[in-house]
Amino acid sequence: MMPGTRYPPMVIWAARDIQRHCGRSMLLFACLASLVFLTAMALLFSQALDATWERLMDQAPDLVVRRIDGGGWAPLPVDVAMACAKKIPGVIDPTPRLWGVVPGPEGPVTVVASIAVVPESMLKGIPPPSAGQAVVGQGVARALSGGRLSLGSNHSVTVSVIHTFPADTGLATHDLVWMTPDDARPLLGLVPGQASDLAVHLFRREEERAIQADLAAAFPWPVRITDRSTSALNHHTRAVRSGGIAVVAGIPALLALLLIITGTVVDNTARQAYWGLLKSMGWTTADMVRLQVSRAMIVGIPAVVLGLASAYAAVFYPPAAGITAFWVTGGQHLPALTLVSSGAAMVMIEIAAMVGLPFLAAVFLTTLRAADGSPWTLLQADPWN
Amino acid sequence: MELNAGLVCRGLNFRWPGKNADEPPVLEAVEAVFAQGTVSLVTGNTGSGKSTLMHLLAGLLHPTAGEVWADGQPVSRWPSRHRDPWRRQVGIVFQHLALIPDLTVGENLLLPMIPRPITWSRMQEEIRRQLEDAGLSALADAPTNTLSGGQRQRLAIARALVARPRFVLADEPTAFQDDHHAARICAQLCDIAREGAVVVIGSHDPRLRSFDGIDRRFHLASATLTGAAVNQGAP
Amino acid sequence: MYRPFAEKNYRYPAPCRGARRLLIIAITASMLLGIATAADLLRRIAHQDDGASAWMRTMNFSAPALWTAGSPMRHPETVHPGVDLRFSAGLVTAP
Ligand SMILES: Nc1ncnc2c1ncn2[C@@H]1O[C@H](COP(=O)(O)OP(=O)(O)OP(=O)(O)O)[C@@H](O)[C@H]1O
Ligand SMILES: [Mg+2]
Repeated sequence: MMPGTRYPPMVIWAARDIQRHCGRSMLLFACLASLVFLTAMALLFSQALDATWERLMDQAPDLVVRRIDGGGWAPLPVDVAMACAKKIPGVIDPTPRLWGVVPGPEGPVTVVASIAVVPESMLKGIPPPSAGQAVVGQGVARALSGGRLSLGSNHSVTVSVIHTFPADTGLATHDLVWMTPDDARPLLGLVPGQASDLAVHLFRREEERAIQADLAAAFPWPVRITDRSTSALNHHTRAVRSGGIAVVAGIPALLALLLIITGTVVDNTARQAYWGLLKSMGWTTADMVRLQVSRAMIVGIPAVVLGLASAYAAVFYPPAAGITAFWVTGGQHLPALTLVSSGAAMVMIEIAAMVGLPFLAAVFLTTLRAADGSPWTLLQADPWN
Repeated sequence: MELNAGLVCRGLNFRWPGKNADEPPVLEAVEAVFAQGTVSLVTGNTGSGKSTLMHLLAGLLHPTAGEVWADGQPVSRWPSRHRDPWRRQVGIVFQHLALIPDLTVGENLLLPMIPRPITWSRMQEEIRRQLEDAGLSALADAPTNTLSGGQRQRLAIARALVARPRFVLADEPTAFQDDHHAARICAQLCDIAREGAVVVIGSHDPRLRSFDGIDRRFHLASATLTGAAVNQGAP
Repeated sequence: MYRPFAEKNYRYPAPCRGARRLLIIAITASMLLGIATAADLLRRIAHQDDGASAWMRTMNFSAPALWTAGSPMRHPETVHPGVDLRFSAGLVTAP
């Protein structure tokens, strides 16, 4: 038995027909694959960015309280702030935060110090920094010289880097410099007993609005409170927008698809004599539709799968992902792009359907139209006549 | 009895669409019975309408009046969704052959088999048999456009016969053949008729007129078909 | 008698070898690519950035490090609510 003989003869013949029109089939394959690649890449990227954001934002504090005065942001006295926050029902674990953006050797870094002790289960072998030491993220470690890091412009502080956060935590730690509170305070312009702001978790998230008002009233100085929803919402608009851009950018590609389909129509009318001959030999219109649909699938399925797989690789594989991000966001710098892939399957199925179904429908309809003539009229298209 | 087996023309009229009404029609009031198991020869001058009659019998053209019956069924009245599958019982040899030049000889024979519910290896078996009958076995892999005119014609006949049709319509099947091959083709068509097929040959080849396997002779002239005796020599 | 060519034609006069090869390539290539992608997707879904989430939680960060330090998207809590992030210079270049 030779390989491949167990396929239905109609499918083998469809492959033979593809082979006869090799150039056209290759063109169709390339167009379909690149169309799928472009749309899938754009949509997968914005979907993945969105999913990643949502997943991480779920861990963020519900509210952040910052003190303001006439000059802008002001340091927050920890004891007073904690006492005020704890009075509000529904507020759980108010935590003072010590952090700030500080100029580093290669652009700004985020300096953090945790007042509470980080649990051993979190550290997984990372030594917590003691005085004069720091643990840094991958993005900072790259710019390091000789294990020492100089930070700040006015009150310069130099620390020795004892460890680097692992790459798989990059989405949280990429630009971090983690040091002791005592090292951090002069950099951040704080005195002992002061914090940058206060992070608050809520017992019930739905009460966000109401508690925001209570909190604002509870502090003895003016504060500004940001909630998760405004920042998440802002981000969401952005992600949807970049998806929208992708769709707009996809329009020329869709036009190209239209051209391909018109090409198939032309192909069909040029092949009228072939259809007429087949009809005179007992082929029905249904047989011809089966032939053309098999042809479309033999070219279309590998093209769609290839387009999807390469889009997937371009979004989720780190070196390629950076280029993709740069391209999709229009040159914006997104470090440490390790995106969450939940929901990616759905996007890929959607795109396969979005491209595949109109293509199959077009093939189906044009074949019906081309083959449903009287066989004699079709035969007249034979150049012999 | 004859009505129920074979191809029957009843009051068949045909006029090309778009031609003047005062011009004579190609076929007028044609009454004929092409019985099962017989070989019928239709002769006539060039342009008399032999090919047109073949196309009408094959259900490729619509008669302007009258009907074509096949095995007691009014095929010419059927809508195309019924007539298209019926054509699987017809094997037609076109006067201009209508082979596909860029396919190989074997693949041309595969064409009528593809939509039929038989396995791939069975198809290959039938093609092999047909190639042997046509004397083209050695050329199975050759592209059709490398064949000689006579070989192409034998291939066209093989394609008409490969799916074992019930109605065989051969338009000038011996036009490009030498005497030896012409006789072989006639013998082949006779064999098929003996197995129960209806064979109609349209030809003005004088070699066929004297061939003794022919059961009935018809002559087409000035749009009318005149039938003749069975196997008793032409009038 | 051994007749290799006659033998070949004898058994498969219309083999359509190229077509069947094409078919096999198309089917296996699609399956391989599809399975590889699906497997990678499942593998990723099974264990994903839990480290990052945990550090977000421990350090009480308000936003992930998707953007560079100092950009408003990285520290949304420092932005005055009157500022619409969508129009921040350098943040979203395309409208
Ligand atoms: N497509 C066509 N459109 C209009 N008239 C046609 C067409 N084909 C043939 N005819 C006319 O129909 C008549 C019969 O043609 P047909 O081809 O049936 O003749 P024939 O008997 O087969 O001739 P030959 O022996 O040369 O093959 C001719 O007068 C021809 O001019
Ligand atoms: Mg003729």
